[in-house]
Amino acid sequence: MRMLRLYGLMALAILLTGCGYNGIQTRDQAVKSAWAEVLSQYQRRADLIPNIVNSVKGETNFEQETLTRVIEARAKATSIQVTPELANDPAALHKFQQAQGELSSALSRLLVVSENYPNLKSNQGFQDLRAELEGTENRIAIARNRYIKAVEDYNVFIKQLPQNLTAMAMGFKEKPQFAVENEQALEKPPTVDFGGAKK
Amino acid sequence: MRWSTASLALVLAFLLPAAPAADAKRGPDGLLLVPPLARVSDPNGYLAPADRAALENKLAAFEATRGAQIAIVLVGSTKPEPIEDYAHRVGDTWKIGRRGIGDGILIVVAIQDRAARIDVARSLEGAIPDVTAAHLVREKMGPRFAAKDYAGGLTATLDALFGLITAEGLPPGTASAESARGNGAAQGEQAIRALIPLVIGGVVLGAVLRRLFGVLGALLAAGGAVAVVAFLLSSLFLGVVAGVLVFVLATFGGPMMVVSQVLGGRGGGFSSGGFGGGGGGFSSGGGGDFSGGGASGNW
Repeated sequence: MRMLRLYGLMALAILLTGCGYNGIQTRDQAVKSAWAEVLSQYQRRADLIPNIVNSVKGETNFEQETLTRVIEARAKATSIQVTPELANDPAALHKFQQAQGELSSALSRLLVVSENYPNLKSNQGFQDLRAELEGTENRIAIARNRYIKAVEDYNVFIKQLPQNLTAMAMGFKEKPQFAVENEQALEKPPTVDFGGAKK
Repeated sequence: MRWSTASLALVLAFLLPAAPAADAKRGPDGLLLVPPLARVSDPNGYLAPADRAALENKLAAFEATRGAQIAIVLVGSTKPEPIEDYAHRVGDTWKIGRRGIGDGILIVVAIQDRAARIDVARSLEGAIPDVTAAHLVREKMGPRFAAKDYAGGLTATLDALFGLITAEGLPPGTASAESARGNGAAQGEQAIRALIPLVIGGVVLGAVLRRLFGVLGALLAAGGAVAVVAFLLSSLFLGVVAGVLVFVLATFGGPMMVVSQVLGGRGGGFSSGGFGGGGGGFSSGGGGDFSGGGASGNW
């Protein structure tokens, strides 16, 4: 009896390794760590913003609307509770992504507007913050791309035979993907009207 | 030097007959292709041959002493792609930086765009934060590039980078290695690669000996393998490893299955790296994770 159970366990182990269970696990972990990277880069950006806002505030008559948009977008983006489940819920993911996207466009508008202020352009502190912000945006873009690839890899893998059977039995579901069409809107440079701000 | 430029031109002409002769290669999507791995890639010849050689020697010498891998790519224009995206594609393809340490830096200069970028692999982001990289682009490269002194700007940037990397206190390079290609991990791989034919030979020989003399034959083969490997690689440890492997395989395994396993297990492990061999050859350590660190700027 005991021997039988042992054989059963061994058979199960062989079955599981032969049916892609390990492969699913590996990809699932890859998705999770890519997601963690995305979150940490977004966090890094959120942490940078107060400094940027403060150094811009020092500039008299800086376009207020631009500044408030950044502050509001940051508040909105950071108000979303980020849980591990968020990545598995298409609606929540969409909301999260939209909030971060708004913050991206508000920030890039801020940078474009700041070009118009000679004091800011020659302010070493602001230029350093700017370099950091640009670096963070760049990291976000790469982290997002890596996440998209990891999810794609996972989704394709669990739909193939025989993994799809294992995935069904073990409850591995397809993961929602970052929307790419949103990203194109983000990459479009913001149009800035200097009418009111120009001295 | 002359020969290598000629061969590069030949390769260029061969790959892209339609492209203008003196421009960096572009793919069908209009984006720049990732150039073949080199310490200094300058398909358009913005650098004088002597300057280029000096930069290459400087980089090779630094890799030999400190281990970090730095590469420079000069192109005309990265458009329609931003320089960050192009630099990331190159960094992600080359993965320069030692395996397990990942200390790589990629410098991309787009002359016509008047844009430059220092891409920093993750493990050096502490030594060279984005702000520092931005300062280097602005202060070391910018003024000199504006005066068309590309070699001078790059040399000044490299000197600053060398100082920052050295201060980071990473494991030193292999200055004593015969060629400049070596870093510890790559040499370990080379040693293992050298082991494979010996193990295979040992297993086959061991199987034959076992037929003739039983377990004693396998032992004999194992002993032989220890001696040969230890002699060739001057490492008793690897010798013993090979010996045990040969003994076990010769005694219990069918040689053919073993051979395929050994080969299959190693498959794909050596893909990283470009043109190796020869003096001054450059092969990527494959450890650099370029995930967006660094900074870019215009002049």
